[in-house]
Amino acid sequence: MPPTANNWNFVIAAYVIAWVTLGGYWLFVHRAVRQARAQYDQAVSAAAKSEGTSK
Amino acid sequence: MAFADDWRRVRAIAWKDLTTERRSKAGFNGVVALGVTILMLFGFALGPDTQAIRDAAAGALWLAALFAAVLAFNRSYQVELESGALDPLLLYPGSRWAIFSGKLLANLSFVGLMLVIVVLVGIVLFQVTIPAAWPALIGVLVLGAIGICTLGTFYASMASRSRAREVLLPLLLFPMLVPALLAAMQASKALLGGDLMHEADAWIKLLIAYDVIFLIATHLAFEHVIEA
Amino acid sequence: MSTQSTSWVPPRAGRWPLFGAFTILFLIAGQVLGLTQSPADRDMGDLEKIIYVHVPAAWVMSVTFAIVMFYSLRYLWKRDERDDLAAAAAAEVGTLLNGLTLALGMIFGKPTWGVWWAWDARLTSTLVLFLIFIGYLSLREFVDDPERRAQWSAAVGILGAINVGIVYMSVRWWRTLHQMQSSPETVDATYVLALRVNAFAFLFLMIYFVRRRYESLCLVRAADHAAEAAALRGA
Repeated sequence: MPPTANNWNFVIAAYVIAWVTLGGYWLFVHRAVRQARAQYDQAVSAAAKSEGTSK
Repeated sequence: MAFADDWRRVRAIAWKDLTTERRSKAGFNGVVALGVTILMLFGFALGPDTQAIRDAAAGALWLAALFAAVLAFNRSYQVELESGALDPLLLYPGSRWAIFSGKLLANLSFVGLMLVIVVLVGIVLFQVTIPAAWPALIGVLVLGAIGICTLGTFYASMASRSRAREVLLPLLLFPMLVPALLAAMQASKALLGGDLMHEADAWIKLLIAYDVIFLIATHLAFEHVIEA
Repeated sequence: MSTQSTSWVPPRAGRWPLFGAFTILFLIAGQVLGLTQSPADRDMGDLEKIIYVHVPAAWVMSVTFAIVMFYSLRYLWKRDERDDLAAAAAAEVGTLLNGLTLALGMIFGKPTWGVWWAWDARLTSTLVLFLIFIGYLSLREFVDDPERRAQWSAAVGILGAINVGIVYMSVRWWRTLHQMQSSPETVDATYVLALRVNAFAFLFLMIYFVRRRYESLCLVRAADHAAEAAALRGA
């Protein structure tokens, strides 16, 4: 197949897919870290509290 | 003498599983009936042109055998899980791999017997002419069955103890079986066609390598899988 | 059967956000370099620009699965559940890159070969690898007990990695016995710099993703441990 301007559609599609995938995963990763951090902090403070009352 | 003890354990477990199956024939009959049904459905998908059916016979046979075998693998742990017999089994002294070998042997007999019936029905339904090299074809059937049963028994030990075992077993198993199925299908197809290109040899070697590699790997890994 | 040590502190973010910001800048630079500076290929035209996302994704994907293999083996050896979480983080990122590689490969294949898919050894074994790791991630999803999940997924990961080589060989035989598949992956020396920059950018991005995913998985496990310990004390 000869190189035509039409091929730019494929290039654009490839880059859009790559950026959307990586960008979407970037957002997902940071949200997951934030939520996990909050969950951990909560669990630790709850554990500390229960330790205080049981003594 | 340790090996002789392990071998006795292997036979005991295989015998126990096969006895359970023999007492309730419903399981075996169901699996065989399913295999035949799948063959018939493949006939509809490929037919009614005789030559097309004949060309696709090897692939259709292996896939029908695979789908039927998957049911057998899940069954092989189900009985023990339902009766809570798996934990006592693990408490007996001896090597863990002997449990796996025993289950594998039982599954192999079960699937082998099923394969014989499905293949005979397939030969009739798909109008296959039996080639002169039929002993090699039987060898391919045995090697293919060993490959499918080794990984099937191994993955079923995990999948049957998880949530969603019906989905998980084929999901884990089928991609792993790609080389075995490809080799078995291509070797059978070549042999059925008279093996004019001498392709079957290479595929049989691949099948042997696959079986050996995964027989070793699953026996080594089983200890980690069953104890957890 | 809880023999695992639970006395570990989850990793902190530390300077990793800084590394992440650097990675993004590096990736943008690499992509701009590839898109604007490389001349159109004689045979492929502008299509060669897809190489700067497709090939790095494929390369870095293999590195990621090597990491899964490494931590799976290390887990079975040392029985530290953090190794299992590292393997899980790498498996997730690897599957993502694998999916991206497949999608970009199809987009590359359509205009060059005229088909979206060819049953060539590399494509097919990449697809099989993708399916094996979809199975790996589903297994983790469907098993609740952490120690069981760790041991099982380590076994599945290692067996899957062993299988990839056999799949590649078997598909190559299957193809060569019937017809030869021309390979489009001949990269001219002119493109090497842009390709190299993008490969490193993807590598850094992968390391960043795996590290942050590992961090969040560790935090969730540590929160479980803290809750368990509190419940034991309260009882």
